[in-house]
Order: sequence, then structure tokens, then C-alpha cells
Amino acid sequence: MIKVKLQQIQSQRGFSSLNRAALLCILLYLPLIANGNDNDSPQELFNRGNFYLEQSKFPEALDIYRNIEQKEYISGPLYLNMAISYVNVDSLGMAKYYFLKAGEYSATKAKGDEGVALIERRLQQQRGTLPRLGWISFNEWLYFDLSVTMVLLSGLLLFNIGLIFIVAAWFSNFQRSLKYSGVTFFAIGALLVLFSIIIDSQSKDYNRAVMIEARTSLRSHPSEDNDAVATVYEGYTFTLHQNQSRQYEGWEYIRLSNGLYGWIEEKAIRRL
Amino acid sequence: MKKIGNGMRSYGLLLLFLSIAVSLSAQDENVQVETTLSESQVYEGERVSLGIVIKSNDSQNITRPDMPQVDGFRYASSYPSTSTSYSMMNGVSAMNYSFTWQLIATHEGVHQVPPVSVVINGETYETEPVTITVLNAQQRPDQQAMDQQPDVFLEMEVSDQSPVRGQQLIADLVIYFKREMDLSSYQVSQGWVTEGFWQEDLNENHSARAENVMVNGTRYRRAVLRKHALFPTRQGELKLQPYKIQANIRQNTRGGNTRDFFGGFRSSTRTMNLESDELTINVQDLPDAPNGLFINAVGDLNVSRSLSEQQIKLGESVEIVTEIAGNGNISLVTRPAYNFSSDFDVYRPQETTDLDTRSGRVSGKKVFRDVIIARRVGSYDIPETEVAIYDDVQRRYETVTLPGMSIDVIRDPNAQIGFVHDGRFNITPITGIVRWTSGERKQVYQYWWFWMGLILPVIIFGGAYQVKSHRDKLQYDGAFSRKQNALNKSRQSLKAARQSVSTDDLKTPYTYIHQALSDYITDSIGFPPSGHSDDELTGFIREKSGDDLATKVHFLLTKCSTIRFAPVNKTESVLTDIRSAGKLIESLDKYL
Repeated sequence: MIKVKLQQIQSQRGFSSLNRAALLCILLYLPLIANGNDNDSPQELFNRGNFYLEQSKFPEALDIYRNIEQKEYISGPLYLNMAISYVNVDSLGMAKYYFLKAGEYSATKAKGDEGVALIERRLQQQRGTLPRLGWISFNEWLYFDLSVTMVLLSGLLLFNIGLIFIVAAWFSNFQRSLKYSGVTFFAIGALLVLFSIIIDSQSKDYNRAVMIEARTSLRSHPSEDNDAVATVYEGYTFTLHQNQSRQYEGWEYIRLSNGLYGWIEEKAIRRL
Repeated sequence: MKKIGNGMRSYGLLLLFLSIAVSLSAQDENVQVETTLSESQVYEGERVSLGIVIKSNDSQNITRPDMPQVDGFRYASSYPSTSTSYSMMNGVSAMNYSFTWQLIATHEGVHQVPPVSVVINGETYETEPVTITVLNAQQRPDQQAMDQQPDVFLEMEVSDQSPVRGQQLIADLVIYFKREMDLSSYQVSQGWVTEGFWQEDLNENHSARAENVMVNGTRYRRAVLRKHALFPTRQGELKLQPYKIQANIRQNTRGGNTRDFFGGFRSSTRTMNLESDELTINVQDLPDAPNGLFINAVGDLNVSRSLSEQQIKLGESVEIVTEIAGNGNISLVTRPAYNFSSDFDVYRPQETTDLDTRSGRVSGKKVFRDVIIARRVGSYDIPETEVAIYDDVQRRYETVTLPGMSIDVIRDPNAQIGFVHDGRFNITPITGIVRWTSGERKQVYQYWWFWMGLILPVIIFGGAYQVKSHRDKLQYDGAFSRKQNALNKSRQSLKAARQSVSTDDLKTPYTYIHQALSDYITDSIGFPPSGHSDDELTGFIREKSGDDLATKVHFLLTKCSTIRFAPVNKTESVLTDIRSAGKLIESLDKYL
């Protein structure tokens, strides 16, 4: 197409030979320039990483995947392939972390969830299962698993429907039924909106994190000199309290699923 | 040849029977020969039966054994009595032959019955020697002392009262009853408490058989009712609680007056609650193992170790099988904690225990299967390991060396890249074009639709409320309604005036003009619609909008009121007045 257009331009305007040479240079270098840019594109890097993954060169694949991640380009397949690479380099904590991240995307949710289940099963055989308290599970569901956006959308929808019903009651013959329905919808919608706003603001104070080192101690205070409350193993998932954690450099305040609280070194975990 | 009468004849018949019943297929290992004694302790002058018993599965050609010489005894008869019995149980036949001599104790002391040779099918078998104690007849207790001994009592007899932790003890529940009594039946009335011990039941193939014993000079029959293996699990003084049974004891009564009609002994049966004494076992702690892994093994045990596979593919599991077998505390043995390289994932080991209690002791084997999976390809060594086992007979540790092993882990050329688990799941990577995002997470209030969803309904609601309020005011507030409609009403009046201009009567339009003006003013102010003079209306206009408009209004109203007295005007003049009235009303609308 470009060549055809060029011929048209030449025939119409009668370009000089100098101009023709300049255009030729541009045409020759254009693919190279374009190619040079593509080498750094996330897709191109991803393809190179996948090539190494298929060659079972897992460390090389991970280097490239991490490079993409550092450029702040993310996607479910990237996380999934990183998780698979980490499984093969025997870092199950990191593998679980990336399987969990992959599970946040609809395209990779099934594989991500399956990977988490497999890692959990494998880790359980090595270090047993940490019991889960009901209220902690509920909190985690509320802050991390519940789709606040969906709740908010539902609330807004009901809120608007309620208002429309109330307004319609003013101008129609079905005042009573429309009024009561409208007030009910309005109230439920308003409550849902309020609930989702509260949960959304609260959830900013919490984060989920995965243990990536083989084992470390959960301490009563943010110092290595303090008593160890429990031992935390690779692959444990727990709730991280952001507010308390900000107070001490290099330490995070966490809550395990069995209800134990304590401090853990920041380098031992990855925030989701 | 010495005549022996009926005894010799029966002996001859037995030999004839034995010679006819020769079995060519008899196997040596099926033949057992042993010496039996009716008593283990006798007083001088008392008799004791010495038996040679041959047990086999088939009939045998047996030569009568030579009479053994037993120190401290003399034979009451030169010829033994003989007997044979045949039984079939579970398809297995059993034949017992016995030769029994009667001996009379002559000298006090512990004497030995020497090994006796028996020729069976031309082969010579020898019995084990047995000992018998002959007591001094002067020491025999008198009848009164023997009567004071209990008729029946229960005892718990333990093989060792000072064992080490983990040692196997055999605890026999033994009943003793006098000779004129017999045990018909019994039942355990309460569970036996053995706190601090691991207990195994040895009663599967046990049947109680009574034997004659002497306790404190009194003859009793002794029978082991229950057998248990006990393994102390902690050190210190441990108590074995009394064992309680309910026994039915039959007492045979002898004497001239007690024979029944058919000449037998009369007997009576009574139920007795018996219990053994509480027993204290002083358990010693095990010494520290000098070297090797200690696996809590005590007894005559052996340990071996093997690999399920020498070469595996990456991802496959390999089992390290450790087998501990022999007599001892099999159930309490713990897994040898091998130190595996960090190149392996170590899974929860499998454990199987197989116990055998048929021999009257606990024996068997325990197998631990450590399941490991290599993380990388390569050759791995599992080093040599020493395991310490405590020998409870020698009272010292024996060290067993488990040889080192090596595993070759190779890559599976057909394996797919991914994470394969148990061959059931396969998570494969995703390749190709993917959709990239920045990964920035927004709060809900950062979405436009959030604000739209909140603000829009508020605006709609506000607007609708305004409309509703206006509508309600129009409906229920008469003054407001008149004021709202005043302009329209006046316009209609002016339109009517304009329409009436075409007629011959030019005064009628002025009536409409007056109506338009006066109605507009009264409706706008909220005055009653009638009963106001032009001056009153003009005065009010003056208050609201000033003199200029008031003068114009007054002029037009006066003109409308007085037109009937004026000469007939032209049509253009009427239309001009209608327009003036319209403009005046529009001007007044700003003030009223």
C-alpha cells in the first residue's frame, strides 16, 4: 500500500531523484525502527519469556516476566506463566502468590484457582494445615473476595429504582404500592451503597499476603530479639494490617488464619 | 521272659497297630517328642507320672523307648501304659502316642529326668530334659494348715517386675484352685486398667489348661485364664489394677455318703467373684543410646531399609521403606528421622503395623514408607544410617547399620511443561496475544458512574418535587392559582376584545379590555375578583410600580369605563388600546 501511494505521489508531483532516495531510506529504516520498539513491548517480552518457558529455561523466563512486571504491564497469563515457572524452580510460596494473582483475572481464574489448590495440597503434606477460624474467614471474604463494585452497582440500581418509584407515586394512580415499593428499594439500595463504601474504605487498611520464604518466626514485637509466637511456613496466606505495619520499617503486622497476631519480617512475604 | 499278663497283651496289640499303620510319607518336621510330668513338686514317697508323648500329623512306626533312669525315683512298674489318640481339626489330622510310667519319689532334692531317645520310623528323636523337685516328707504341712489355705485364688503373674521402658512384659491372669475343685466357666467382670502401659491381647489362640502345682505345701491346680502383653510407656512405679472375674467353681465331694445313685461323685457349683492383687511394676528408664538414631525400639528387633526405585523420572515419587521386625514393642517404634537433602520434597510417611500374637508374645513388623520427590534431575545419595535398638535381655543397645543408597533422577522426555500433580491435573502456560493493563486499582469513588448514580437521581428527585409542589399549589391554593393564571386570563380577554372589534359595537372591546386589566390586577394581588373601583386598583399599582404605570392604567381603565359616553371611535383606535392594554399587562407582570 505504501509503495502504491508512493508511486501515485511520484507520478502526480514528479519527485526529484534526491527526494526518492530520502523516501527509500525512510522505507528501509521504518521496519527496523518499528522492530526496535517492538522488542521492548510487553507482548514481545512475553513471547520471549514463553519461548524460554517452553525450553524449560525457567530462570531466564522469570527474568523476562519480572521485567514486564517492573514496567507495570500486567495480565492474567503473565501471572499464570510466572506461577508455573516458580513451581518449576521450586519456589512454592512465589508460585502460590502468582497463582492467586492470576485468579483475579477472568481469563486465568480457573487455572489460577486450580494452581492455588495444588500448591496448598502440596504444602499441606509438608507442613500440615493451619486451622481457620470462622470469623477470620468471614473477614477475609468481606475485604478481599467480595466484589464491592458489584455491591455498589446493585445498591445504586436499587437506589435509583426506588427514587423512580417514589416520583412515579406522586404522579400516578397507584400511589400506595409505588410509594412503599419505592421506599423499600430506596432504603435497601442506600444501605448497600453505604455498606460498599464502608467496606471499600476499610479494606484499604488490610491486605492479603503470602509467605515466600521456607519458614520464619511470627514475633510478639517487631524485633528479632522478641519471643516467637509461632512459626510461619512457605505458602501461608494471611491478613496484613497496613496501619500498624507502617509504624515499623521492615516489619509487617499480620493475622494468621488461626487467629494469631504478630510481626513478621517484610522480606519474607509478598503483598497481593 | 517275664509274664506280664493283660498289660503285655495290650502292649502287643499296640505294637501290631503301630506296625500296620506305618506311613511312608511321614515327614520328620511333623513329629514332636516331649517329656511330661504330672507334678513338678512331690513329697518323698509320693507318686508321679512320667510320660513320653509323640505328636505327629500321621501315624508312625514307633519303637517303645527305653525306660530312663531318674535319680531320686524308682519305677512302680517296669512297663509303661500306652495310649493313642487321633483327631481332625480344620482338615488337619493329629495323632498323639504316649508311654507313661509311674515313679515313686525316694530322695529329697531337685532331680532331672534325662533326655529320652525314641526311634520313630527308624530315626532317633530325643526329648528335652525336665526337672522335678522332691520335698522332704517331714516338711509336709499338716492337714489343718492346708485347710487354712484358700480354696481358690487369682494372681496376676508378670514376666518381669523391673522392666525398662518399652520392654515387653507377659502378664498372665492365673487361677489356682484345690484339686477337689474344678473351674466350669468364668467371665471378666470389669475392664482391666493398665495406665502407663501399652496393652496387646494375647488370647486369640489361648485356651486354659490346668496343671498341678504346689503352693506353700498345698497342692493346687493352676490355669492361665488370660494372657496380655504389656509395654511400659513411662518410667517410675506403675500400678497394675486388680483384674476382676466372676468364676463358676464346681466342688467334687468325696466320701461314702456322697456317692450318687450311679456311683459317681456328687458335686455342687458356686459362683465366686475373684480379683487379683494390685501389682506395682518398677519401670526403669532407658539409658541414652551411645550412637545411632534411637527409634524407641526395645526387644529382639531387626531393622532394614530399601528403596522402591533406583531410578525415577523427575516428578515421580520414590519410597524409602524401613522395616522393623521381630519380638518387641513393635507398636511403639517410631520412624527413623532421616535427614534428606533439600533437593527433595518430603511427604508425610505411610506407616503399617502387622502384629502376630499366636506365639504367646507380640512379634511382627512395622513398615515406614518415606515418600520423597526430587526437585531436580541428578544423582542423589542417601547416607548410611545407624539405628540403635535396646536389647531387653542383654540390657544393652545394639546398633544396626543401614547401608547408604543412591537415587538417579532423570528428566521425562515426554513431560509437558507445567505443573502435573498425580497425573490428574495439568496447568499449562498461556501464550499468544494477551491484554495488558496498568494494574492500578481504583477506589469506588474514582469511577464516574458512582457519582452519576448518586447525583442524577437527586437532580431528578429535586425537579420532580418542584413539579409536584407547583401542581399541588395550583390545585389547593386559590390565590396562587389565580395569580399563575392571571396573565393567560388577561390575554384571553384581550383576544376576545380583538375578536369583538369587527362588530359594529365598538364599545364591547373596551369591556373586555377593562376586564383584562382589572382581572389581572386583582388576580395578581390576590384581591377578591370583584368590588374594587378603578381608583383602588390604580392606587395599588402606584404602590407597587410607581406613578408612570399607574397613570397609564388609570387612563385606560377610565377610558374603558367612560367610552359609552364618548362618540364612536375608529377601529384602529380600539386596536391601539388593545395593544396598549397588552403592553401594560406585560409591564405590570414584572412588578406583581
